[in-house]
Amino acid sequence: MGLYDELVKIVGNKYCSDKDYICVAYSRGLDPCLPEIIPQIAIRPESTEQVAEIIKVANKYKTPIVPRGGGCGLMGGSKPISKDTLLIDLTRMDKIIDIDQENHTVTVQCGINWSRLNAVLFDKGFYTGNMGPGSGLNASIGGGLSHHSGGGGGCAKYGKCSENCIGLEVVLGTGEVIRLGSQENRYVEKPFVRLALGPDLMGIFLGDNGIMGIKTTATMKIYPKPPYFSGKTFYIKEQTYENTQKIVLEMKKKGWSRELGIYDFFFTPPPAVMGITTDKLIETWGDIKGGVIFYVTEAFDEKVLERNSEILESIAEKYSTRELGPRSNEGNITDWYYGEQGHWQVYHPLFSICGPDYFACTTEVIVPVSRFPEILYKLDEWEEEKYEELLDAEAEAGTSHIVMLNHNSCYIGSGLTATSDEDLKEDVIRLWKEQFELLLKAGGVIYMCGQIGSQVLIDSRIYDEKFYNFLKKVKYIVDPNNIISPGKFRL
Amino acid sequence: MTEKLNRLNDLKERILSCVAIGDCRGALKGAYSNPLLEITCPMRDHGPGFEAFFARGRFTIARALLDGKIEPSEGLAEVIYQCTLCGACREVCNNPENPCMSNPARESINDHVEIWEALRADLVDIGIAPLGRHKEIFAHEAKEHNPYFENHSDRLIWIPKDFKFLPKGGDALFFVGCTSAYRLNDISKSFLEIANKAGIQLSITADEWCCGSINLRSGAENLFKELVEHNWDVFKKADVEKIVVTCAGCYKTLKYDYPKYVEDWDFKVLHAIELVDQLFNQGKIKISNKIEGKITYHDPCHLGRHSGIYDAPRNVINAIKQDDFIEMRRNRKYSYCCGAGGGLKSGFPDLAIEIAVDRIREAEETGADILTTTCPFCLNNLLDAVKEVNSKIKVIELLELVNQAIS
Repeated sequence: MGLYDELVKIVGNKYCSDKDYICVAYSRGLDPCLPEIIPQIAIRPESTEQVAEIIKVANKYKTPIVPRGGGCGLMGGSKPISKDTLLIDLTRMDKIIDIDQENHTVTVQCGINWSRLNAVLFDKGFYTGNMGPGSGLNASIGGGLSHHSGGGGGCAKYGKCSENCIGLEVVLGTGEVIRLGSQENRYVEKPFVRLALGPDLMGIFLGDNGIMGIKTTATMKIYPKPPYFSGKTFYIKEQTYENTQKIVLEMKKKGWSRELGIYDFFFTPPPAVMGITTDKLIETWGDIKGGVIFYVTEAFDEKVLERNSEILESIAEKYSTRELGPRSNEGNITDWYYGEQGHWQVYHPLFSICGPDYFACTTEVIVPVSRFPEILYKLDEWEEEKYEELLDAEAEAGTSHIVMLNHNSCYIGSGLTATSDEDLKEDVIRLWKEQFELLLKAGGVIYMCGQIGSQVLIDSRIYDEKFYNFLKKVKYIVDPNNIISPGKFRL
Repeated sequence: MTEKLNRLNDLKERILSCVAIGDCRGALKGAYSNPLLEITCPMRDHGPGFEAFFARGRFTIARALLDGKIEPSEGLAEVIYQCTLCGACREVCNNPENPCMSNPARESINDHVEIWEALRADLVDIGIAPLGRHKEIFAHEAKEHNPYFENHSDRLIWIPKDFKFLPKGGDALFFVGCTSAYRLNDISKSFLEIANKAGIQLSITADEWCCGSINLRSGAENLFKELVEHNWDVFKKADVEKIVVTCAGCYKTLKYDYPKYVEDWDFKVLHAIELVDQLFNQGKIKISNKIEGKITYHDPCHLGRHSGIYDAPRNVINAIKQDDFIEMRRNRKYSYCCGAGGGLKSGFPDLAIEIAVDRIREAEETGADILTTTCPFCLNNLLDAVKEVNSKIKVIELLELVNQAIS
């Protein structure tokens, strides 16, 4: 009995395939130019037990595996790096195991996506706070937790999605299953807290970019969804970086989300990019030069909302040229995303902004609020310097959005847009890596690393050497044969 | 082999526009009980569920075929035909309400179903499709012009002797369609009776052939063209301006596909339920016995998502109901397919019923006594599902309910 037959024995014939026409569909992520490698086998387990069995078999045959959730990775995180890969499609593991409305937790199989989970929670008056990645409604819980994702909404108030994770069940590279969080105590019936019972080993598996184990079950905090909200959009014509920074710092001084209920705060330097999401904004955003900020504040009480909105507005008005809105067709994007769309959740039309086969090579990093204007200027300078090279590669560089996080930092959504033209791929990948390096050396930190980002960390010697050695030792403990996502982080 | 994929090559730019975010697999925006946007692809919930079975994976397959990374094969055809062509993927992806897609990408991809049909037609042209069962059906159709293995000469034997209709002319031509002619005659009889009661003069011709929907959806474009050519001649001779159908599949085919193949097409095509809605509005038919029991309605994909007819059947239900009309959770543009379309019923009958059972369960959850619809093809599959699970819900075509209500 060979590898394939042993795998079929675990999940049945229906859910395991080595056919090229099945496997080829897993050769692609959201990036336009990383190699599209067809895995040798694709498999769809339905339980933790099946995942554990699969990993044991993969160990036996020393077969590399790549776990894949929604397949929404922007940097090659959920597609094979080598041809002999066994791809584990985790989307069959999409059950909601428990919603604990008393203790405000939800426990799910990690293959469920953020949009489906939150749709169910909305019905009960809850949400996950942070709504997961900005990369699509199909993005899975497991994928989000593996990348510290956050652009799908709620970052300003709830931070990255992994900050809200309080329980994990993980299959290690050996096939062993461990539970982290309060369930490290075998007498705890249901997960309820992360930080207890000694060192926080859960952190090894959060933001791990899928290298430390396969997350099969997660417990996350849920929050009552405030019934009132207000969203505003402001145009900032001049000194957009500095003025935006002033607005943010002033709002933070006055209490940010804790006091003012800020749920999300975005800044988009080239507003047309996000304006093309809906026809309603094209007219009002089409001619805008400079930048646009928009924020949403939530409250449980109408009067509190009114008071907070006034405070926020007075700050924004000081530094902005004019307010856009109040309706979406007058330029208020929050009215479109949060109002008409029912909730924020996902803002990424960016992948396809320039039309057919012209997608984003993203280089998102986290930087402190105090430094984002400086980093944005560096990106602008880089774009200027690389003008000719970008032109030759038929790529365009830019920054599409800055998303404020809950404490002191923000995501910078930068990158290139490029075609998947075979002849240009090499140049595009080189420029993509160069931009990563620029951002990392400027003091930014990447969170979703995938294939390309994790490799830049090593190739450009970004990691402190002692840390990298420690990472390798930890990896060896949890995955001694290095079968889970080999190649990422040059492991 | 790549160069033989003529249609796919022509659609290459549209295929390359797939962003691969996968909303076609998992999007559900808003509350579960009242979604603002929801993917309702039946192949997500049934079958093996690999990427290859829904739109994003199919776009990747199409790209791989065009790039020569994989070769067409019978196994591939088996996968490609496991799709009801219900258009749920198009509904979330090409939806101006979807925040995940930019306008240029939406506009470029345009109609997903057209791309799936083109892929099937290319597979047919290179000789690895259609599937075995479809081949048998098409061979019969070429001779007898219906997919039910019946004789063409029996096409109108369902018409009771006392029913009035014209051989040509009148207010409209009633294009009976194969399912209403050979299998579910109560639908066509009900419609004739309604027309009689309303004083509408219908013509019916024994010369009509299958509309060709099944052929077009299954990639047999050449046979489809023959059927179109014949029916076009028949229609021209019918001396009418309007054609009325009772089948959602015939409706979509005559209304939206025929004009692509017939340059001078100028017939107005109506679904019978649109006509009935008009007749109620004009006071030409009146209710005498309201229908008892709670009613829910299944939107046929060809009438709903593909043609945008959502209100007419609901108006009619509201006119004839005595008790509540309750929507299923997934309705209108996010309705769940019955599982019969796209050649699935004939190619993968068990899978088709499995999907229909889901829909029956959803109808049961509303507490309705009656599940009604406006397509004989859907009705047929839903009836099979009712038998499969011994459901107590009554599945009745809406025209039959109307006929009961106005008698």
